[in-house]
Amino acid sequence: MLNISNISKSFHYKPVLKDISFSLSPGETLALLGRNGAGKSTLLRIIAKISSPEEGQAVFNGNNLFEGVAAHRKGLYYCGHAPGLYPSLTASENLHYFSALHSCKTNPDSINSVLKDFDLIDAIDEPVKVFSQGMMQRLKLSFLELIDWSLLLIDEPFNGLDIPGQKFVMNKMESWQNGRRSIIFVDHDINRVLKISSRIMILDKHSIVLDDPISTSDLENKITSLMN
Amino acid sequence: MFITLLKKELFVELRNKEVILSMLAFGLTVLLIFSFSLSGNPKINHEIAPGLFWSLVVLSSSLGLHRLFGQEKDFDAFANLLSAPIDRGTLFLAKWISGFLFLFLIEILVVLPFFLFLGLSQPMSYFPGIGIVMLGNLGIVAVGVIVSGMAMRAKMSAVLLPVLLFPLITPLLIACVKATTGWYHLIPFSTWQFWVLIMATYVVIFGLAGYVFFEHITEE
Amino acid sequence: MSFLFQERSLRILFIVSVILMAVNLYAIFFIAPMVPEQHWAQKIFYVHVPIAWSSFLSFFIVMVSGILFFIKKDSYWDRVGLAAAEIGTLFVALVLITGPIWATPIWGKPWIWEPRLTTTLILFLIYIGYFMLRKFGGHPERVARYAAVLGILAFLDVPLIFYSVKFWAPQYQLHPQVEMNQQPDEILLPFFFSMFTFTILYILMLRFRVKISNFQYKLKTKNV
Repeated sequence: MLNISNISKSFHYKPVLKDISFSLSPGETLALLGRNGAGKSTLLRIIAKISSPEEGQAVFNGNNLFEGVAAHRKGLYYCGHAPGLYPSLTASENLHYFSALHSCKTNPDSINSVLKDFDLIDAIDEPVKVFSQGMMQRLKLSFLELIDWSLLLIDEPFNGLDIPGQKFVMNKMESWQNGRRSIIFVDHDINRVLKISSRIMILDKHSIVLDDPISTSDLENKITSLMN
Repeated sequence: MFITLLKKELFVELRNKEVILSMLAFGLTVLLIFSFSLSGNPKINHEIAPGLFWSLVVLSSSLGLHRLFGQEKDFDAFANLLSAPIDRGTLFLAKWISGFLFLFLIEILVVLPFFLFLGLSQPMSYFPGIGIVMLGNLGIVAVGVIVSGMAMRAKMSAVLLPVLLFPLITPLLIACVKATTGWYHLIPFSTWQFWVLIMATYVVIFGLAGYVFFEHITEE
Repeated sequence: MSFLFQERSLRILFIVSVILMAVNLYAIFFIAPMVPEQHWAQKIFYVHVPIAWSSFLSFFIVMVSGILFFIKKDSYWDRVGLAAAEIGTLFVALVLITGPIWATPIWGKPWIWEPRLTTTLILFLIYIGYFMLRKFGGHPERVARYAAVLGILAFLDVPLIFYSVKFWAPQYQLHPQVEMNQQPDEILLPFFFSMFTFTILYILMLRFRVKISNFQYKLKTKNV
């Protein structure tokens, strides 16, 4: 589904990613771990075509992502650190417009039911700029119930959420995992990652230092030693 | 997709009015400065009115263009626009046309005070003037969107934008003033049609350039 | 400094430039005839025009480098573009200085809004913006893309600037309209020689600047 080859990226001449290559199959949930500054967010933004690498290729469903053809990004959805929303629009307006930009038709009923599901229905007429961080995080994730996606790139999905919120998102992520959808997500909690992902990758010193399926023996110790 | 993008641009601006209000407030302020700093002689004002009008438009537009990507920048909605399966050239077109419409709206609002404060006489015909203004707007906003897209992620973007924009649009400014003078002072069209040609050439070149290069300007 | 002269071709080019410039200066001062009415002031023509030509050549190179940067995706072309922009802007500043020096005794005033000088001034301002963009645009990898686009846009603008300024105020056509085919050989020959000399000097400066840029780039990306 996704083939990354030799991606390199520098900022101010200092490399952040060097020769990153890996493949992702349909149905995989890949957890991306690493210290701060390891390049995890940068890698996601490169695949999402928000950032451009100095070198490298990315092929998604047989299409070159870096060719600049919009249709090649169909099915890809990026959820970043920042809210990624229009502050002066309401939750339902944001949902409506961003779904339209992914060519997904919505109606007030579908939007309302999603907002109810993500516990945002009370703030339905408020502009997003007054939302708390937790509310914005939930709104970001609620798009995924409306848009038809096959590859999700999500940067710290549990950021700013309380314990019930985190549990809610973990359940959602498990429900999204089916044979055809893949997820790459960035996280810092090793225990949580071991529960919901099918594959773990650790970035350190501009390269991939670990890339193992969840079934690998002694994985937790490997991760702990690399992260420290 | 272009219609969806354009609708979104207009809807977002209607909601927060950042671009329009900043251009309107600044435009009226500049008009006030013109009114007080000039001699007030209606004959002189009549001579220089086209130049004053376009100076006002260019100055106000730089403020509005600075905020054109404001809503996308604040909460990084731009990242979602870039990763969505939307052609970047279409994104440029949507920003171009929405910016053009906002600028045109401001001009409609400012034109009456403009004529009143400077004691100007009514033009004989309106349509050629409106056509010239629309063509000029297209040119200014085409370059403005390219420059604003670059300045969006830069430091000192409020200063960088006019410093980049103004020299680039000098030929367009000259042509706009010449064409407007020709229309307002009832000079035969054959004398000033060259300037309309310059304006149209400018719009075509920079519209195309924006469509092609927007891909490269928008990424981090 | 010595690393600049390590390449044989650069050494030869340097020596050739020095010789050519020495001969050129001698030709301007001692061989080219004095034009009546303008006397010494007219001799600026042998410097002003070649520098102006070199600056336009430079901005053309900025545009070409920008295009090549996007096609080849190699930061080398960004360094060439930067070098050409720097030298071009320096030469434009010299045009704007030598112009008024020439103009004061000839026109009676140092500045009027005639087309070629005005176009040069606008280009100078565009490139001030270019360097501000380079400084404030963000990390170098992104700025390279911005600068390439701006370099292409600036050169696309040049004919529009020239023609709009030319017909803007026809009364300011006082720029000495030197009819080249009417000039005698004693003026034409030193003039073309000067054009050639300054072009060689320009190429030398460009190559030096790119070499320094490449070296700085290697240093910055080396220890990783």
